[in-house]
Amino acid sequence: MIEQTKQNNLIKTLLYILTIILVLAVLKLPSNIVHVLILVFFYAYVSTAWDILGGYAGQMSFGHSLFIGVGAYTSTLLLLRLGITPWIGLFVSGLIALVIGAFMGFLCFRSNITGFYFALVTIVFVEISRYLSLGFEWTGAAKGLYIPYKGNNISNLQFDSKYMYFYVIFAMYIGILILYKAIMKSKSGFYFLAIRENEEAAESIGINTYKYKMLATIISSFLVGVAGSFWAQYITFIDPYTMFDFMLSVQIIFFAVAGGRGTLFGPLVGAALFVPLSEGLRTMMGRIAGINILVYGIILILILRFMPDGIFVWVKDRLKNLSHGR
Amino acid sequence: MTLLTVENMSKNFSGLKAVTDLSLTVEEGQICGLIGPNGAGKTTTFNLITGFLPVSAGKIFFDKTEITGLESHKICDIGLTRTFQHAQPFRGLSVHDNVLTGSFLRNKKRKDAEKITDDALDMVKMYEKRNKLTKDLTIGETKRLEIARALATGPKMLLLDEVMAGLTLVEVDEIIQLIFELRDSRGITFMLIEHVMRAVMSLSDKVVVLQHGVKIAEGTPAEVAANEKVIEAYLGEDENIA
Repeated sequence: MIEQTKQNNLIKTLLYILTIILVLAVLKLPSNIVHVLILVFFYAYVSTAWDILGGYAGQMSFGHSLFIGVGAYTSTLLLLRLGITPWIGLFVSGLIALVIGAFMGFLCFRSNITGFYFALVTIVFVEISRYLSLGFEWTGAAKGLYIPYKGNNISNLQFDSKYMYFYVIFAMYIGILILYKAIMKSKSGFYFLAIRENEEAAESIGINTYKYKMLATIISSFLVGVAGSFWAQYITFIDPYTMFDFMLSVQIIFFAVAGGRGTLFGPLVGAALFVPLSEGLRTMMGRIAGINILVYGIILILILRFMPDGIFVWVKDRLKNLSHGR
Repeated sequence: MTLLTVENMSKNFSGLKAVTDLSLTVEEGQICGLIGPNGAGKTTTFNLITGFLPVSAGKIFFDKTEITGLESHKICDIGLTRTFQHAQPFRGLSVHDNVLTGSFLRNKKRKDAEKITDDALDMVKMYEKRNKLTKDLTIGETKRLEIARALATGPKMLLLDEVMAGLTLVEVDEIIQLIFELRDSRGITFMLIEHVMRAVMSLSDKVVVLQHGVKIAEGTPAEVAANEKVIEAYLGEDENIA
């Protein structure tokens, strides 16, 4: 027991040091590396948000790009059509995503649609949203929306250098970690787990499974909505095909599952390993279209075969065995 | 005081009558055995009372409140909790966390919930095994875990579905002791579905006998054991159970 606390403290200290080094190093790193780091933390954030619903409460959403798209469109439209600052946009995006998530949850969970059927409904929502955003000139239709650069200004959430974006998404990631950890320790967290493991047994001990599935859905959709509007600010161009994208939804799941579903750092581990890999593959073998998806597929099969609980859990178990002298 | 009242309850599964016109009452502090041959409708009765299945007809009252048609979690909230015939622990969670999940029902704060959890684990003598994973438990331990988890919800009444099936003689005796203890120290009322006759006979203040979804007898264990209908239908014509 004492050994373990010691080990945990050591890991914690290491994490803090790494964090500080990272935060300082970003200032000196070339901008393409900073870009990859932004991607890593963006995906780590979104996968963690997905994990609250998918990994913790066990409701497999295959449509989380829906909330990225909704968030991106909400803040961008507010900015372009009404001139509202993206800082307010971030929050409104979260709220709109929350409302849509709640609607989706209401449709599914009220009539006991779970598992595969829930996954299908979430995919349908993404498809509908894509066609809706394609259909209106007001949302930019197929041309998409472009956010004009108005100078390095924090109130516009626009910066002339990448590292500021990194600090924003990094802070958001730290925020979601704290929230995730608080959920893990709370009544709601245990209720989510109970629902994931056995809904009938959960009902039998007084858990309102409908209410807690809804809670997981709205927390998750709100958080992803916020990330969507950050994403729009960063890439400054959004269109229906890149936002309401099925592959984007799959990636979000992939990072969480590969890293470790239902664990604090699983999504980060997944994103930190596979985002650079995917970016590297794209630059090195860009001529072979879809090579990164092919590699993803192979790796996913290998991980599910040899580390079904994800890399994070696998490594943790190895470390535990080592410290027990086995 | 009457704690549980079932009035003319029926359940049809598309034509098949699983339970027909069942009425029964359980007094506060009583231990009521529910017995009958396989397929008599015992587990269905539990599912109906706890809201896991909707009734086709009839009414159910618990603690002066009508609970017919209420959702299961609300029924548990009022104080009526059940266990399952096939134990259903939360597989990915430790013994402690399984019970903690139950404790949260009446304790919003983690600290209070932890206290209830330790207490419930202690009660079923599982405290030493609290860090084990549920997959590493024996059948007997899994059943005790289910009781602890139900206990942690602070019930007025527990419905135990074949909690002694598959246990050794020693384990059966331990569970019998535990049920008496819970009744005497916590005032919990029990209804149990049980095939282990020794347990039913020694525990029950009252026994209800079902056959083909119909109540064929009710009374003290001795009365039921002497009832000709019961002997014929359930225990076999020539057997003497006493």
